[in-house]
Amino acid sequence: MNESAIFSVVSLAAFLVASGLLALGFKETRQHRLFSRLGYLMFLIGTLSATVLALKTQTSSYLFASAVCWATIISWFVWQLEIVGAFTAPVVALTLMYGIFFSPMSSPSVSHDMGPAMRIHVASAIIGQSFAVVACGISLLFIWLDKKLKKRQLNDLPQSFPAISNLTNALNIALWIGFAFISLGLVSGALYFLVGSVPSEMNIMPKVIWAVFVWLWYLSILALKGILSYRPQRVARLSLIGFALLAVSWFGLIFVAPWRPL
Amino acid sequence: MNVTQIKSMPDQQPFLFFCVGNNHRTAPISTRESFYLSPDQISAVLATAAKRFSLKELAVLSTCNRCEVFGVLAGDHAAGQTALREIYAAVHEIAGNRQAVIYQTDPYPVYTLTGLDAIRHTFKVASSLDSLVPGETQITGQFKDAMNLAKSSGTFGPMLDRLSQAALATAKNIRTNTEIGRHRVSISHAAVDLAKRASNDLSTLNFLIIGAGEMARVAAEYIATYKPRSLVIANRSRQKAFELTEHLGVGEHHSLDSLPHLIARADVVISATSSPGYLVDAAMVQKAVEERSDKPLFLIDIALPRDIHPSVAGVSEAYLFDIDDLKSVVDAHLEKRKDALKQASDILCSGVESFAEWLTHREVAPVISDSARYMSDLITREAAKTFSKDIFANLSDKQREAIDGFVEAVSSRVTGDIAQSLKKASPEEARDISQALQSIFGKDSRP
Repeated sequence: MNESAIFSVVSLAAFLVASGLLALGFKETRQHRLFSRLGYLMFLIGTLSATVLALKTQTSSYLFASAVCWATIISWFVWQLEIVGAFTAPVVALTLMYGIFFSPMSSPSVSHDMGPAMRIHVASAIIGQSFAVVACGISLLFIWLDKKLKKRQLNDLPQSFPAISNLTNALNIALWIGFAFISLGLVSGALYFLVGSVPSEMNIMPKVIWAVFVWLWYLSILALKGILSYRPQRVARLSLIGFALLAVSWFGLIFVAPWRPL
Repeated sequence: MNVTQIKSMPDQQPFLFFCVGNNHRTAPISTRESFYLSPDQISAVLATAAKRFSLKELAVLSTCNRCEVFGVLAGDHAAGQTALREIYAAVHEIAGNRQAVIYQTDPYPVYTLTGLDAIRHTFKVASSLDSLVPGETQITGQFKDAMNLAKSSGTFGPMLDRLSQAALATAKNIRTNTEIGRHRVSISHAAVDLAKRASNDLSTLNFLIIGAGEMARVAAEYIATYKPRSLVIANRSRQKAFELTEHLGVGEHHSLDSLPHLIARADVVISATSSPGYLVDAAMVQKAVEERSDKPLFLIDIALPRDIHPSVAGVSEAYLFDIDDLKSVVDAHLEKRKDALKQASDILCSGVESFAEWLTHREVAPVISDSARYMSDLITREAAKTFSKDIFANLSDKQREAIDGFVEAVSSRVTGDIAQSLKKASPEEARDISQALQSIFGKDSRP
């Protein structure tokens, strides 16, 4: 077993365990703090392994997985949203599974002969998408909290659950960061396309169309929020749909398209 | 010792303590609201109700968490659930509380307690162990006020006096000797803690407090410690609102006329007035929400009767809570005070036990006195009969004095021993001794 295989197994196992522990820690029981702490520890171990794996293999799925991990960790420190890990850990685990079982490690996404536009495109697209994942996690938490507060089911809320204003602020910022990086990814991708260095065997049109569609969706969310003062409840729901579109672009097109994802 | 261990009381009592009512455990806020009685209503009701039911003593305690009638029944008074419910319903009927009278159909949402159960409950209420927020001090004042109202209405007698004194002494003992009241514990504090669901950092929030009474003051003081972005007090009397802001050293004061505008500016509204009707309705909140950005609006109503109409919950961007919703906040605090609660419960048991003992000994005191008198009469009579015989005719004065002294000593020794054994006895034993003495020295058995 080579080093990459070891790291991939370690990181996948860590995220699977983290998913279970963080889910258990969600419900306020006697052991919930212990479960949560162990879950965060496993998340950190998984993040380190996934990062090493991503740096070694340079494949998009591992890069994406590690980017989601770091975006999650940023949300822990900046917005005290440790609980987002309960959503992102399974997403990372799924991405790693995809990377292990469907995406061969021998063909890196980021090859050394890439130009700067392509590098910026890959990096910004992955960062943008990872913040979109975090925004989706925050949206789920927001919708759940909103429902519990509306129904006055305060007993169901863990003491450590973030406050609704904090979730609203975090959601707004995550959406803006995600949108900014996705935009940068599109622009750099367009530049790469215009320079004409795209291999002729790659039919990138479905991906471009879908990416523009996702970008337009996030643009609409932010526009509706800014111009029409869309309420956080609606923004959260639209953000969930945005993530669904993103997931289709990430996983769906990969399976239907004859080319390997970038 | 557990309070449930003290179970027995003298069967034959010339009076019986009772308590009938509902509280936060047995009735939701909508029901409690129907049973709420203002101090004016209570004053108007007590004498009439006591007279109608020939009650020796009567008091009513009505707070945001309970409306209970405490009293003393004559020994021959019917003390069943139906009789006590009738008293409760009559109190509300006399008070003109129509909403409560409609509850006269079964099941009537009240509990009925008599004897030791009523005593134990009174102790729990006075010491705030029966409160929504155990350890809060407001109930002690409210309990005293209820007894004072009974005093001024002429329905306060020696038994309620003794009971309330004992209950309040136990409450003081609990506050002094346990940690239960050391932390910030009150409905107002719980309301502010609930606001932490709006933002983890209360200093970023704009607070509006409606009311300037005790609960509003406690909430405002607690909020002020967080140095919020803004703190506004709105009250019917603007002067009182001004006084509260002066006391706090921060905040703005307004009258209730500017409520719609003030709600639009606030992130958290805490309402704690004694208004009999709603002050905030859904239309007002809807309008306020439309003027706001995407920040959530929390409305926490800790008043009873409520100040905020329940339909406000239907406004999508507003989160409405009432006193009953604070229970989960309180439960989280209780977890931290488990030991103090256990300690408080032990002190309460001890207080109830002492009162039950006093009550028992009070019951047997006439029996001791009767038996002492009977023993003394008996010995004196027999001694007189014996010493009137001829053989004692030549006794000197000194000898007669010595014999009289001996007779008195025997008499006091016998009655003294009986009294001592009764004092040392448990309530059950005292009851047995009392019954034995009654059968031996009772009027029917006297020669």
